[in-house]
Amino acid sequence: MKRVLKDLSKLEELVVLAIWHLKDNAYGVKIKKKVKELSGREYFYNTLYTTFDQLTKKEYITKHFGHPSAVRGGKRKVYFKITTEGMKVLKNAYERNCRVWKGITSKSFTRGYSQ
Amino acid sequence: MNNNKTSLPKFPYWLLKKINSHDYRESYIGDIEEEFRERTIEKGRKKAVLWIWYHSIVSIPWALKFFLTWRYIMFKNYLRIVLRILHKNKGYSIINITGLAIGIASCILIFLWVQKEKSYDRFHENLHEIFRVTRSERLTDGTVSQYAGTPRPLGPSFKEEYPEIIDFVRYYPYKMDRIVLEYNDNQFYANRFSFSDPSFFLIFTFPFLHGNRRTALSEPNSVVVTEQTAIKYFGVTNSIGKSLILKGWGHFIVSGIIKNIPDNSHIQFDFIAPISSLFKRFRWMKGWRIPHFYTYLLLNKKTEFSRLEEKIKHYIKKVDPEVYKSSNLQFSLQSLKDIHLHSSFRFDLEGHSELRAVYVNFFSIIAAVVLIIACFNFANLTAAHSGKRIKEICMRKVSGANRADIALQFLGELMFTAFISMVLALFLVFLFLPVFNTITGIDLNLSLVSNPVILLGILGITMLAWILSSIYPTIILSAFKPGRDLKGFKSSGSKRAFFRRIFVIIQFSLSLILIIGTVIIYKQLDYMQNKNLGYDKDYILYFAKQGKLIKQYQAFKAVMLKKSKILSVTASSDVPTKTRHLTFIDNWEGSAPEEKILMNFFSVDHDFIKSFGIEIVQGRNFSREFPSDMSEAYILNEEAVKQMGMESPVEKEFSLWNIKGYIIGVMRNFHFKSLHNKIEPLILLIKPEWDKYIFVRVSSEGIQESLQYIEWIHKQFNPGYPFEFIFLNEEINQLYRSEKRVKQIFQLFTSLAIFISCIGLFGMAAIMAEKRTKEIGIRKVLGSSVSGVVVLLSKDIIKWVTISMIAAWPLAFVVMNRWLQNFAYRTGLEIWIFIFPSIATICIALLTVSYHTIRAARTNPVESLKYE
Repeated sequence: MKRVLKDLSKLEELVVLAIWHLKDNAYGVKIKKKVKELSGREYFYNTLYTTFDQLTKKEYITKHFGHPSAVRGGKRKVYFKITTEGMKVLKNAYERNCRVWKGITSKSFTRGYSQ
Repeated sequence: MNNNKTSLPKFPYWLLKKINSHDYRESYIGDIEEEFRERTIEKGRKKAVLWIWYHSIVSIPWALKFFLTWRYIMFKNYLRIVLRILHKNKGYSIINITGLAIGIASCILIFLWVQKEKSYDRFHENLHEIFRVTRSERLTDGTVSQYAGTPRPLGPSFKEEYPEIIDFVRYYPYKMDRIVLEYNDNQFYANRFSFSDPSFFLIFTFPFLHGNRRTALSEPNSVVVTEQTAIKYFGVTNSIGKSLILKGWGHFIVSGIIKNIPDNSHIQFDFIAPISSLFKRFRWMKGWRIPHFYTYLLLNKKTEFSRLEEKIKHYIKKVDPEVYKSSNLQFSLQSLKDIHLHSSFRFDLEGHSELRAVYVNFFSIIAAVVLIIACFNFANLTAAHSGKRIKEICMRKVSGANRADIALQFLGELMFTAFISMVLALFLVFLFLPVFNTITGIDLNLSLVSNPVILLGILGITMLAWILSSIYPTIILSAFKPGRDLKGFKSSGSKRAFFRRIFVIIQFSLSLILIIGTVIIYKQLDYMQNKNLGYDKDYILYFAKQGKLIKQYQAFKAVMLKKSKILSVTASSDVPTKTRHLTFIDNWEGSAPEEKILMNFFSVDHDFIKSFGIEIVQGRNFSREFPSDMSEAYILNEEAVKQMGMESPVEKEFSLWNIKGYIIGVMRNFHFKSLHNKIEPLILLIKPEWDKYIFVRVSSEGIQESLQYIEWIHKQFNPGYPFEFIFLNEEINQLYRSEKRVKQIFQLFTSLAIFISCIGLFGMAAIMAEKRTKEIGIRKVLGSSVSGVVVLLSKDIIKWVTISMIAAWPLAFVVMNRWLQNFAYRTGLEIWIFIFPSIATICIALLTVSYHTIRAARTNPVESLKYE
């Protein structure tokens, strides 16, 4: 049965994109930085982990544990990876964004609404 | 790396660790630590510390939401389990919940009643500033009598003397005779007619519907009526300006209508008129020696009540030193709050006494007892039933729950049941409130529930029931160990069985105490109603001697006696149920100079002693052959003779005040007051103008006919005075009204307690029989008979009930003996009072368990041993 893929929310989209950028090094601190880099906004870990949780439940990403390190006080990292479904959804999001924003440049907004 | 520099600030770190309990906690904390270190290196420690603080504080709401979500999920699970279990064990759940609901319901009922008793007079705005002046007098033998009444000049003099008294009011409920009112040519008796000062409505809060509270009582011959009185007599509420004729008093104009007086007011009247009208009519009501008025003071808010009391204490010394010397008369103050429940005064307004406070406490205890029985019952059944939950609890423990989790689960579960019980209890209260109202003779209603105090009380009772009933089962249930108990063997340790037995024993002891109490109350009431009062109380009726009957009494009597069914007619100043005449006697032949005794006195006519069937033990009765009997003859009762210490009283000189006379006879003691009181000294004399009541003894046959005849004659002689009569024995029974109520309430709660105990026992028997199914099967296989098994199963119950019996007897004895102290004349506490109820309890207990024991005993062993 073909799964109906739900659209991603803006934050979800950002997070998946960040994970995609980070490839094999996608874990909490790095994702947070990437998201900030991409969106210019600093999110809380709580928000991010809630999003991770949702995405994992939707099976767009998977998690696996890394090794503990001293800099983290001996805590293990959780690495995230995008699943095939996640890729599809990301692609969908990209295509959708392209469709929606087609032909629009930043100049489009300088002339005002009344054209 | 410098450890000091990069170590995390403790508190936010701890907070973050504590409040995050989700799946990603480890990596989350790791991320925080990593970023903290990065930030320390990049931006300096200060900023990093600030960041982590900020982060931790902002995460609190998140954590909270997360926490609640999980609680909610678990709660849903728990709720589902509770409902499933309640549903699965319907019989057991019904027993459990009904028992608890009955316990809670009885508590709520008593609580409502107690609240009502405690709410007396609380509606007055000046509640805390109103005090009543009371007085006490000391007799030569040192006994102090306290009275609620005070003299007429007391109020005005006090107000003048003491600046802390803002105002005073004298209140006088008129009872000397029955006031006849005339309105539109209709005549009727005014039932509760009172007199008071114009300040009455300024001091007390009785809201006006029409009229002005400042001026309502300032005009002479004005009268204020209650709403229901206005409607009853005038047909309309606004009846201001209507004119009433009080026979013998003149016209009175309605000057105000007040809202109906609430039940919980100690002052009750239908009509109230200015006290000046009363003084005008009875000119003798003056001076410091006629203490017939209830005087209330309105004090300044800042007054120290005890200091004022000290000042007024010996006030009489100033105004009437002679009275002070002779009776050591002292005044004291009583708060308005205490009048209803804490009064113990002679001649107080009716229905307010210490006894009520005693009963309030008494019934609170009984309600608590019923609740305890219900809770123990609940606890016991739940614990006994715990075997069914072993698997569930062990599974939870295996999946990671600790003891506290399980305990919390069961506390919650039992709270849920407690609340179901509360809802059921409220429903029961709603159903049975009318019945309870008839029993207690008070008007309670559920609208009281809207009162926050009562609402809190009901919740409090429920919480108490919950705590009492849940602690024991929770301890039992949470103690299961998967390793040991999941195997399913040995689920009941001997220690647990011990507790269970204790519970059953306490339950039955309490029930038994209640049963014994009921029996004793029954006996005492029976004793009081059937005790020989020293006179023949049956077939005597009485009515007021007033109007034309005062003058034409002798003619009236002669006409009455023409009818053969009317056996005798007599008159008296007092009814032997409500005596009102009391005085000091200090002048008799052989009295010591300072000696005096408190003496009741009746004026009677010549036939009084004969009509009432009172025995003369010495001397003679009043006789028409001695005209001097009309002015100087006294008949004393034995108690009076005893107190005066006379050897041969007949023909001795005796003076009542300054009326000198002789003692012509001594009568046997008879009970002219309720049996709560000892027989006091009494003196009879003839003074026709004091007589207020006419007593008629009728033949036991054809009472209706006699009544019609009396009414007809009354109408001939006394037109304009409606004929209203009372049978003496009915009124005597009325004296024991409150005891009767106590009896009925006791009966009600006893049956409830027995019922709860029995359903508890029923449930226990079921569980026990079930647990011993295999044992019974084996016993039967080995040759035990059905009766043998029944005896085996019942043996325990008999043992428990016997122990509770032995525990209950001394307690019941002590409690009931104290209750009996309220009566001067009381029934004995015989041994059978204790034995019969105990036997009855054993029988009830056996009957209750018999269903299950017999069923268990009759089961075919094949059935019970089949599963292994």
